[in-house]
Amino acid sequence: MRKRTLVILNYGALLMMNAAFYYVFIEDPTHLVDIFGLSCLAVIALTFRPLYWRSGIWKLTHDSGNDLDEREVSITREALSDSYGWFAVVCLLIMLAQSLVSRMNVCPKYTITVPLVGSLIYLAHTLPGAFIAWRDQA
Amino acid sequence: MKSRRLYNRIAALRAERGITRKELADAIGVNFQTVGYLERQEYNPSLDLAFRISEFFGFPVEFIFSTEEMKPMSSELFRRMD
Repeated sequence: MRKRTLVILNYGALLMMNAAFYYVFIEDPTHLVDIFGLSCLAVIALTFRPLYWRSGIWKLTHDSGNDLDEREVSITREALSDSYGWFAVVCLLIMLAQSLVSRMNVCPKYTITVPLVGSLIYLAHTLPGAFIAWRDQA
Repeated sequence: MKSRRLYNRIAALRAERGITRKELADAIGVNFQTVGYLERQEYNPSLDLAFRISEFFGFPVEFIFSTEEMKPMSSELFRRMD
């Protein structure tokens, strides 16, 4: 249950951070938005350590398969397979949103930002681990 | 194909021998968390791992693993003596 809460907090903060950095394209940026975005980044960093690092999940998804036992190989394979599919869905949704925003002329200044690209790289690395953490009820 | 749940006596045998999960895990070549999953019967081991466990405890595989819920070892012993 604790791991699920950490997954929700981690990805919730990631989403909010991107929303904050998107908001600056609509309204005049204020320091409050910057502070909110950076606070979300701090939440991501704080939840990353117990969720992926101390739990050993990072090792499962990033170490060589030779160092894992048969159960670990099995859960990692399943998590990787699921995360490939979900990562593609997330990328397609971002492309769709980008296309809609530009067609509807909602926010003409909007473009793909460095935080968004960084978030996608982060998501690609952590999504398999998030699946493992979500399913681990031990 | 969804595999059947396997029951086992690993927790009872480990307690009887007075060894930790880490010691058993090192002896059979798995992570100590995997021993926890095996003991809670949340993970079915491969045939190779099942044989490694049975060799470690010195009992036949069918004594340690079963597809049916296992009776306590004391009642099994009493039944055999009877």
